[in-house]
Amino acid sequence: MDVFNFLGRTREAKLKLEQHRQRLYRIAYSWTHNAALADDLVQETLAKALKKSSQLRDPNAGDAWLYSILANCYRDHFRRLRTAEEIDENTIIHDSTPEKESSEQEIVLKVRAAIARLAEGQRQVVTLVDIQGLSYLEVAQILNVPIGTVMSRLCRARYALKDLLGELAPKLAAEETKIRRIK
Amino acid sequence: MKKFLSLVLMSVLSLGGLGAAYAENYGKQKVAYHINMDDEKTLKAALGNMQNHISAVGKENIDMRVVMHGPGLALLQMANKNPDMQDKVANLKRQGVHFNVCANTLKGKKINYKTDLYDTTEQDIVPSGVAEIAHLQTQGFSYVKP
Amino acid sequence: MNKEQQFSEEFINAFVDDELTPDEKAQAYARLGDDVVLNHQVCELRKVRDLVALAYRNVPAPACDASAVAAGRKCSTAIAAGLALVVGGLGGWFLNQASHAPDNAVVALVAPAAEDPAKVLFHVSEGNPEHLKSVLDEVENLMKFYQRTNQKARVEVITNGGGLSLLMAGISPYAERIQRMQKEYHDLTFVACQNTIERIQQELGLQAKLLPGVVVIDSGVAQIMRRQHQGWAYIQV
Repeated sequence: MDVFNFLGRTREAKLKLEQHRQRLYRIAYSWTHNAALADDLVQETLAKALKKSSQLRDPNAGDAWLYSILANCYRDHFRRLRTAEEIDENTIIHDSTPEKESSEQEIVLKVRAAIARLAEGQRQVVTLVDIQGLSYLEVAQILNVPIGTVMSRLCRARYALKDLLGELAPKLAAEETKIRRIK
Repeated sequence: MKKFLSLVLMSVLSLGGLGAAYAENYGKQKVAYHINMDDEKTLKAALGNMQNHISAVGKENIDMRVVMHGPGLALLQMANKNPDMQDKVANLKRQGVHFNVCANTLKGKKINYKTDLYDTTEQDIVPSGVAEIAHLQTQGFSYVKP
Repeated sequence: MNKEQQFSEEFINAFVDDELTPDEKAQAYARLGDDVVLNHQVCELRKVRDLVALAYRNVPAPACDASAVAAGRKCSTAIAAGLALVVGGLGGWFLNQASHAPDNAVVALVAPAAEDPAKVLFHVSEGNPEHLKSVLDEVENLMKFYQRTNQKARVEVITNGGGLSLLMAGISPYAERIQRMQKEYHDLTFVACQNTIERIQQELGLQAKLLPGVVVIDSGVAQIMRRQHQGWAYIQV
């Protein structure tokens, strides 16, 4: 595939491509917890996206359409994978980064394990919102579901995570917002 | 004369020592000075504050950025013409202080950084002064508005 | 929605994600003052949200080793790096990062979380019209800058003391401009200080009416401290 010709020679297009790749990869990883699989997904996504190269070149085009492609690829790939092999819970542990044990790293692993246990739809919604900061409307478009579904999945996801994570988050101090109402 | 010189020498040496002592107390500091005013008195006082700050902490122990936008570019405009201010700015630069100017302001006020601002190169320009100050704070810089 | 009604889970989540309209937001803020349970819920949700963001700030990059390539697996970072080589001599540290990914190791970092929204608060405490105009100019320049560079940003303009006149209906010279800015920019909130409102009432006998969409907070200074504690950048204008 002659990517070079598709994108033209602009420096901005190259930078944008790399930015897209990193963002997509982060989400793909949060869905699969498997670096190789996430990478495959991102490649497939970018390959499909390059066919709509004009959108990639447009500086004003948002990212939502790219995540749609990612979501579709994930759905297809996941379906293929499910029949071919078990998604092993252990992959989460094997994939952990080779950093020295630290309490933050423990938290990270616990959170990832909790995310992995969520139902697929909930996992997708909560990661798109919390990692990528996408709006409810964008997520609805990406996953091709009504916005109400996005909101209920998000609620359930966060409720489940709250349960699974228990007493974590030592760093995050409680903020009390004391706002009085005006008469 | 000898006594005077040795006193001067001693004070210079002890200043260095003082810096080290203060450094023990204050550690390595990162600070961003927000300059968006053009009142000469305030600007001169600000330059004085910066020097005091460095002297208290020691120039090796501080990373100081002076970010100018809007009317604040007057600091370097004045330094271009006023030898006293020029001296102060040059001195601060010698101690490692970075002076950054806002590209938006350069464009908006049609300022030519090469001719209108004292000792300013392309490396000193940031795309948005306010965004730069916000960004520095996320990098652990303290915010000071003189 | 009257005071007796409970906010739904969806509503509270939407509040935490800043998906509410200014009116709904004001309702939520108003209730947060009295409702300890609601405060707790909001707090818990924020914690969960922050934990999720934290857990994926650094993700393991795929290994780009020879055996993988031999097996027909191309690496997406290699593709991106290849592009960099083709164009040649590109600056931009993103691409530099990708092309430096070591061959046989799992690299711990993708880019640092550049997607974390920038969080900036402007503190306005003076109210002469020229100054207020320059405040709005600064805010808009910043919003435009983030738009141009495709960065997500949350910006709050917190007014107290003389700065409150920016947001007072019938007094602010910029009511229309503010309304336009509220529509045009996502995640830009104008905030008024309740303490100042009360002081104006007591000292001037004036009942402050605020522009639509303005959020009221108990104390401007307290809000500033809360935001700084939450990692917001502070700009005094």
